[in-house]
Amino acid sequence: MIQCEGLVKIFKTEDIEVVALQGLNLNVEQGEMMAIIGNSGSGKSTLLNILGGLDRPSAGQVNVGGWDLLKIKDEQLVEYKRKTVGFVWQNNARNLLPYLTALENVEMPMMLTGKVDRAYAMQLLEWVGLEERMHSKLHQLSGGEQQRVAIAISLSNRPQMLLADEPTGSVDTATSDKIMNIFREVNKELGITVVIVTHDLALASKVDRVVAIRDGLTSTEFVKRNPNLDDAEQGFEGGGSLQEVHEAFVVVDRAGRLQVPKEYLESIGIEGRASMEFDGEKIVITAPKLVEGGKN
Amino acid sequence: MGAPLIRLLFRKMWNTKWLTISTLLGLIVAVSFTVSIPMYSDGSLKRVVSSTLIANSEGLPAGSLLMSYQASGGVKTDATALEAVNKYIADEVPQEIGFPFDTYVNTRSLRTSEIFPEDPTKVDASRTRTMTLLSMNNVKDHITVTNGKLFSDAAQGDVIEAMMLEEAMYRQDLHVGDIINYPIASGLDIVLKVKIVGVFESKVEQDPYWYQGFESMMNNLYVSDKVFNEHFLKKLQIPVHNSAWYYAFDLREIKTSQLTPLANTLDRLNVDLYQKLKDTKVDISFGNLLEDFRKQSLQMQTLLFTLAAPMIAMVFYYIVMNARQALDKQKSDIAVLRSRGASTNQIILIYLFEGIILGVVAMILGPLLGYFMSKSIGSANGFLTFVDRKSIPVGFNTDAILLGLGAVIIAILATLLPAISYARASIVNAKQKQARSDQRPFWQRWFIDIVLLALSGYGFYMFNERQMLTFQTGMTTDELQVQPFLFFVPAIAIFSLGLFFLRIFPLILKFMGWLGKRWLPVPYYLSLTQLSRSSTAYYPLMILLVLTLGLGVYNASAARTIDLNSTERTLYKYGSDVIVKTVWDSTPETPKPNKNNSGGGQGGVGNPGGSGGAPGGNPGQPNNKPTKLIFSEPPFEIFRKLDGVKAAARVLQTKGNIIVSGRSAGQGIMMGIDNVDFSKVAWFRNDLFPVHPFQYLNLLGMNESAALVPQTLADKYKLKAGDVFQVSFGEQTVDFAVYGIIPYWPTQYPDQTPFVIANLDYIYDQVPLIPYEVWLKMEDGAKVAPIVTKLADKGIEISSISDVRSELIAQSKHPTRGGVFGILSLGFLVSVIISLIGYILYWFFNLSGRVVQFGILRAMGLSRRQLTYMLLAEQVLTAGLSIVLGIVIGKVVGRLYLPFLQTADNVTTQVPPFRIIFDSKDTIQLYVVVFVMLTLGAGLLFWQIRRLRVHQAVKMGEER
Repeated sequence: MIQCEGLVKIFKTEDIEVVALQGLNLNVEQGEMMAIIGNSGSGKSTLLNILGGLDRPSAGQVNVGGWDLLKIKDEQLVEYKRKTVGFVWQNNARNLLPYLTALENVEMPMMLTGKVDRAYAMQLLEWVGLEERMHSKLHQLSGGEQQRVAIAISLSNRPQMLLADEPTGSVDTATSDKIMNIFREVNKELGITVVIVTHDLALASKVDRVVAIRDGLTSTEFVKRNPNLDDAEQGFEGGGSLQEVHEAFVVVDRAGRLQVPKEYLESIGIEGRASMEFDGEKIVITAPKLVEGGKN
Repeated sequence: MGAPLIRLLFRKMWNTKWLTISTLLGLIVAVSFTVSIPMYSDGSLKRVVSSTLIANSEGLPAGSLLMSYQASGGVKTDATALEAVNKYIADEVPQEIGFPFDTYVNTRSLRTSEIFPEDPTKVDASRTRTMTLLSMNNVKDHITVTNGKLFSDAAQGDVIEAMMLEEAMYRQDLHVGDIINYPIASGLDIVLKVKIVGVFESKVEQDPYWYQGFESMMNNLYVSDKVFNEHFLKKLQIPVHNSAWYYAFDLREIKTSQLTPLANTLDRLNVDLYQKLKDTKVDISFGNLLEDFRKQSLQMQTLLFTLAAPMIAMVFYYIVMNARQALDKQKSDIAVLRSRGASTNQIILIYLFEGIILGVVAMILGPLLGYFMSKSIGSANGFLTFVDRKSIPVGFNTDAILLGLGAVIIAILATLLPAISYARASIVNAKQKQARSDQRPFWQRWFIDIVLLALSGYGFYMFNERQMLTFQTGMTTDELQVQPFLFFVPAIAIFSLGLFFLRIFPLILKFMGWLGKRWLPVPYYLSLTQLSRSSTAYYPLMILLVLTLGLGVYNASAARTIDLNSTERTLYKYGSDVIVKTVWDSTPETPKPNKNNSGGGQGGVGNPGGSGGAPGGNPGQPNNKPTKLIFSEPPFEIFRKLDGVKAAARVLQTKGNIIVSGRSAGQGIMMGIDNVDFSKVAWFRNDLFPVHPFQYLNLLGMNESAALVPQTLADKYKLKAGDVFQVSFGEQTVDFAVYGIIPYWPTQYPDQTPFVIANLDYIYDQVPLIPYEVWLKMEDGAKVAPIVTKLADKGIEISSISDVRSELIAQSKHPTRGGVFGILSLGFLVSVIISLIGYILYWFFNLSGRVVQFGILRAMGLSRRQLTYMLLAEQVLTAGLSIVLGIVIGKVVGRLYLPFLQTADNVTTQVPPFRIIFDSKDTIQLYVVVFVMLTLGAGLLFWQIRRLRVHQAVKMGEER
């Protein structure tokens, strides 16, 4: 579904240049439900914006559902947004038109494509559990409810892929669980690819695969140990550290580069260069030999 | 994709009712104002046309067109060509002119001939009678037969039946039944037998049908046009001597745009006529009238346009500001729509549809409102007085509709252009841009304000050098007391001063912040910070307020100044309400030998009007023995007792030679008054005198020979109070003592002729009676006509009577003047209403856009009261400051530029001196509006804060 290769995004203002993505690689399969985690500033939202067609990459390759998002034309981008991707923002001001009711909001993207399917819109709202509040104005809804409306909106055009940026960022745990369940349902029953961006490890542990982004690069991948996610509910209650449910992998890119966590490097004092040994089974990275230090 | 999109649009419009309504309201106001201005000026133009038509309609009607064929001697008439030209004139000319006509006459005549009676026994044949046989078409419809019968349409054998005007019968000594011979010269040797069968009178004497005038009809014999054409032309082949076609067109509906083509048509007519029939030409046409119209309408349009241009610009600025703000509020919505898959075109379409819907509604309601506005303004007879005048004919015209459409289009564009740029930007870009919104506006970066300031300074310089007056060529002072540029340049000055102030506004804020950093309470500190951080956001409102209020103050002051000064000038010229000059009975006195006396002194005696055929009227020639007239004074007390007269005074005005210390100081006007009476009737402007004018009248009462002299005379001859000087009237010389020195006196122009004010009785003691004028102070609304009849009843003959009030009314009825005041009143109202609505809308948008900010502030612990104070401080600092600034700038600009108004006029007659007026009534009106504005603003604020739900705003997050 998603193939990113060496994706680069540079933000420029008059005096600062920020490289938000520095050659990021990512592959997401059709029908997968995955999460992208990372600290703030790691570039995860930039990635999501690019995937959602809201921003254009500076360089690299990115292909989503057959669309080359680097070379895509504006008209095609509109088509892409209408058919391929659905979007849930963390901030509801970007998801919703505050003056419309929940139902009208869901119908809004349909109106833009020209096919209004009220029954489907109502079904979607039912799905997210808002059948009672269909005709409420948005400010009458709680934050969680607004978020669920946003999910319904994002699904209104039957997209192939759902992107969610911190969808549970501003709601309590119970609501967060509810939202995650909706995502999972969507994923299972409609077969929609779901990509969630979060910094919440607990949330991330509820998906099949988690990709961690650090400094604009995918660094670590966690793959779920127990593929049967549905009955893993009780597992989360234990605290849900990512490692308990997932196996962590370091990502190796096409050129064979991998990222060593900073803590590792610092703890053994690697700066600038390191020694690497291969004994046939393992690759061992160590701090450089003193001889080299003597050279300096 | 159309229908769902429109549904979406309707949802958006319906659910954001307030925004939609306020935008619509703004648009309607804007459209109605833009429409009302051309409507109004077109209406005043129509008034100019109709008043010109009336003025030109003495004698022939204004739309007269007279074409004639004059045969050159002895040429045979080309009957077919004559018929062709007749057909052309009858059928095509009215179409080409394109106006309805009241009258069409074709007069054809034979060559004038000396007639002789057939039977000399019945008719006195010794008289020479030169008469003309002629026919007029449809003459039957315009006459009544008073004697005899109507002529028949066919010749009775040899005899032709003819009619005459009754008066003509007497003059020619002819009678009904007489048969006369009418010899035809031109070699045909025919003698027509004409029988007078009837006498007629015109039905309506003023009928333009009788365009030739009755005097010229005295020698005419009228025959039926059928007889003329069939019998004379066809059968007898008599050449037509003259054929005239006369049209009286009704030009009342003429429009400015028709003037030039019509003038061309008229010019072309001559050529066409000549080509159809030689010697046919246009005798009288209304081409000159058209030229007049064109000139007048051009002047009027320039004048009204220059007056209205700043106002229209202001309205457009308001539209743009309004549209911009409404759209800014929807920036985030556009971004949301975009992220949900709306294409740029769809966004543009949505806003285009919205603009069109609102525009159509505004185009329906706006012109209606504009119609009523210009209608009510049209009944203005002074600045902001809408009474006592017939309203001007206001109608919808293309200009108005076009300008209204222009307003709508600009409004749509003002929304659409930024909408396009917002639609192009993705939600990410939009947020990025929102983060960097404190860019300086373009006019600051390009120093537009400084350039404009320099421009208005240059304008001031030009006015000062009076070079700008050359722009005014062709506008005579009596019809135009206003220079268009005097309204245009100050508008620029106001605008640029406002802009310039905004340039230093952040500095002021910084200074205040620096001053108050330590001790300012949180709310005020917050508002200072808010203002200095995002001062650019307040610029539109501040510019609008400065511009509208500044222009409003300036226009009001200009109108008042023009109004008051022209009124005062007239009042000063007349001196009192009604001036009556009566005819004094006089008897010529047997002249004493007074050859040694020059005629100059006699002039004064001969001067009074109404001395009728008195021989004193020709005093300049010493050979002609001047006779003195002894006048007897008519009763004066009658005047006091007339109905509607409050007070009456005798005022003598005569010429005399002023002699200061034995030397002549030239001829001056001697004014004799009764000081108490005079104080009751005369019009004084108190600020003209160093002390109250009655003090001077008191001085007159102190000594019988006391006199007041003008400052100029006193300065020139170094006269001081107590000095004695003489005035000689003819032979007598009268001594006067200077008791007071005055700068001005009603009716007197010291720069033209010196004058002496003295006691009337003292003068009459010294010299024989000279006729005086009676000055009447009237009660409000009292008419002059009854006085005339009453005086006539009492046997007092009036030689002239002048009423200053009717003069003032006549002045105020002058279309140009009415137009100027109308436009100025309209401008004042426009500025007031626009600043009011603009202010409210601005705060509506501003406050609703900052809900999150307020939410955060409230969440941080700012109490509701503190928040209110903060916003109030903000209002005071922005709106309050610009309101004060607007009024001050308006007044300053008024003081700077209004004095130039008097240069537009004839400077020498600008007595009493010009003064600039800021009418307290206008200022109070303005203050009321400002007060309402601020109250509404504050009310809006409280309302907004009261309904502010912090959680809601914070929940939605981000400012929208």
